[in-house]
Amino acid sequence: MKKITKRLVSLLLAAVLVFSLAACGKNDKGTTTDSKDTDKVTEGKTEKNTDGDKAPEQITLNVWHQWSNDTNELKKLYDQAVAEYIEANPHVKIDTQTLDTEAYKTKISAEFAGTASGIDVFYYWGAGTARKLVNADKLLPLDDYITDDVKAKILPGSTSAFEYNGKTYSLPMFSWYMTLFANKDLFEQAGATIPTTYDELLEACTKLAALDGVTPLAAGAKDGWNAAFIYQALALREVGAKNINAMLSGEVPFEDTGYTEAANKVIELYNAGAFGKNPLETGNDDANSAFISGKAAMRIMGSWFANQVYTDATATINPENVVALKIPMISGKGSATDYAGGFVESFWVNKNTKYADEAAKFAIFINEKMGKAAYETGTGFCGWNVELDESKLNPLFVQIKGLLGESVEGVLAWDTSLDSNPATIHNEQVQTLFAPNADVNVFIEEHKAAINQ
Amino acid sequence: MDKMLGKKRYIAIFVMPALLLFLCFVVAPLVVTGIYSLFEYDGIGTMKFLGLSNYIELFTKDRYFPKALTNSLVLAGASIFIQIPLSLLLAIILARGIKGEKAFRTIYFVPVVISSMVIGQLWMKIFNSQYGLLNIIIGFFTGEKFEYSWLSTPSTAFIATVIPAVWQYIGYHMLIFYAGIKSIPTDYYEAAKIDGASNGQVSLKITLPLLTPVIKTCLLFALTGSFRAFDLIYVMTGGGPNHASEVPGTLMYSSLFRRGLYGYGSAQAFFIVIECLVFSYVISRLFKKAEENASVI
Repeated sequence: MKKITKRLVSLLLAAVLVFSLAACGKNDKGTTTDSKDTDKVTEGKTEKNTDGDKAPEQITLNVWHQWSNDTNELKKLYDQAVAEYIEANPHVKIDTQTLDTEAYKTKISAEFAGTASGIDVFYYWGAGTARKLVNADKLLPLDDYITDDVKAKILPGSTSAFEYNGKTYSLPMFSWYMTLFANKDLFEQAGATIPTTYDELLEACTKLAALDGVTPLAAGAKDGWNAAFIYQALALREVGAKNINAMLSGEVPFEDTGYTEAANKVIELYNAGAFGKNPLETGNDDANSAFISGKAAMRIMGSWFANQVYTDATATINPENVVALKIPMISGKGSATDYAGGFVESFWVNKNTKYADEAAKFAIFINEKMGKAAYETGTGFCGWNVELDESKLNPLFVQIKGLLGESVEGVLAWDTSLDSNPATIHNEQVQTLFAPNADVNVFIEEHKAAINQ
Repeated sequence: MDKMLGKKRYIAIFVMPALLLFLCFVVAPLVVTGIYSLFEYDGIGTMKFLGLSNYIELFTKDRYFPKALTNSLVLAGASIFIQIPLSLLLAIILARGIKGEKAFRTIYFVPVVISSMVIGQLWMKIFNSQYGLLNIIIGFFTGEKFEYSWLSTPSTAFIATVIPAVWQYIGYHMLIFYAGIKSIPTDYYEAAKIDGASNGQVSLKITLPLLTPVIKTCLLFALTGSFRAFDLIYVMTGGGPNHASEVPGTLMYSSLFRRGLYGYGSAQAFFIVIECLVFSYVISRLFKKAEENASVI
């Protein structure tokens, strides 16, 4: 009897250990995410799986986005939009999960390596970034769901980043515009003029560099995409938006001499002290705070930066003295109506979703709502022809809106248009221009090898 | 109890949980990585079998991998010839029972407890060109403002990351040595003293030989730690500028998570594993004789 008890106990012990292990292995997918906002928008309704003919089936849509910070105004506006949607569609429950940008990208990649069964609708970047998902047939084309009503509301030319092989996979939300922000106070102190051409920019940088403790143009080159912005701005003027777009989409190879010229101009600016002595030492955040605290006279950034100039608690400069400018022209080259920026962010639908109709309907709805919200908070420019409240827009954003109004053809940030491998090589190679003894030949060769495959 | 342990079935049952854990979380991922490394794979789409060409590319086409490998060997060299001797010296001095032994032990161990992210930030401030401590000290001696960016200049960036990497784990190895020394029976020391041995002689003839197994462990940790170094370098330079401070770990991260080359990144990861295994084996062989001698005493 004793023997049997002993055996039983030991077996039980082993079983407990094994099962507790199995529990460890089955890591719940949702545990890493923030579920706070989920509670706000759901009303604890239970799902019914019976196919009732009269009442629509109760369903839950799992939605993922990357506005994870509670202080982010877009997050609040998203929650409001979801609440509105649920009110109009009571049979739908929206379960939202968020993660920070970098973690978010990794999470989405990991999920879509499988079937991404926990995702119905998700935030992502179009053009080159989503191409991988489209090629692997992971996304649902929305063509069947885009009604004439919807079509009529979309701004013309705003969907190119969401179209692949003749199909539309998503609709625009909001766009951005690459702007040269300049602090007039510092320009006055240095006796420099606000630049409209490259030559004026170079001259202004030389004068501004003489000011003590002031960086003429904060580059933030430690972050590859920041460095790339400056090169892309100059390449836009050297090569023109049309040619760059053709290059980014693989229609023409990377070989225009303008690309070399643009690289030489970055080096020329670096040698003139435009970016300070060690631009590779500071990243995006440092460069932004250098500008808003009066330690940098210029910054080339997306239109979203306008908001920070007004709202950042650490800002010490007078926002009224900041002007928003076009990327300076290079005499005899490019067109003043070219700009860097455009529509790239948006909500997409997983092809494996159980509720394709509902998911597509929600994706279209939320893209429109968030486009509107982004505009009204001064974050980006709405891709929808709808009534917009302009009462809260800051003057700087209104200036940028004016610049965008004069623009025709836009180029997205190269790293969102290219595939991830050439995109990384591009960002890394541009960084090499921000150091002494930069080699333009290597720069061009590396680009050719990565892009002209 | 003896009866139970005597039966193979019970042993199997009790070993099972740990074995499963090991298989699931160590062996299986390794095998999967090894398999991925033979394919061209972007993490989402279809996989294309390449055989060993990812590995061949590492050493023939990759412009940065050989440099990264050299860097990791430099780091390993610095760990073995600077970090380990320094920690051993500190441990011997501390174990002798100097004043404030406990306080020093804690102080030396502090960097080990702090996250590498924090250490990285700390040393970035020291190496900063504008307000960095190092430049201020140099400026003080030369009498003029010194503005050299240690981390964003290719020739110094890697060395500037080696210094904190070596510094950080001195306390860790010191503590292992210290525990090892403390576990040596005091009889030997007493006998040596009666025979009139000096402090130096005691350290060389008694402490060091008896410490051989501990030294081996520390060398293993230091060496494998250097080969898979990542966090500190990622924080301080990210492998830059222009790939000057790249180690295999940072290249692997970039391949996997930035460039979307899962197959190629897996080959880099698998290479690091093999490298660590080979060197562990070499160290075990080298120490076999010395360990046998130590156990004789």
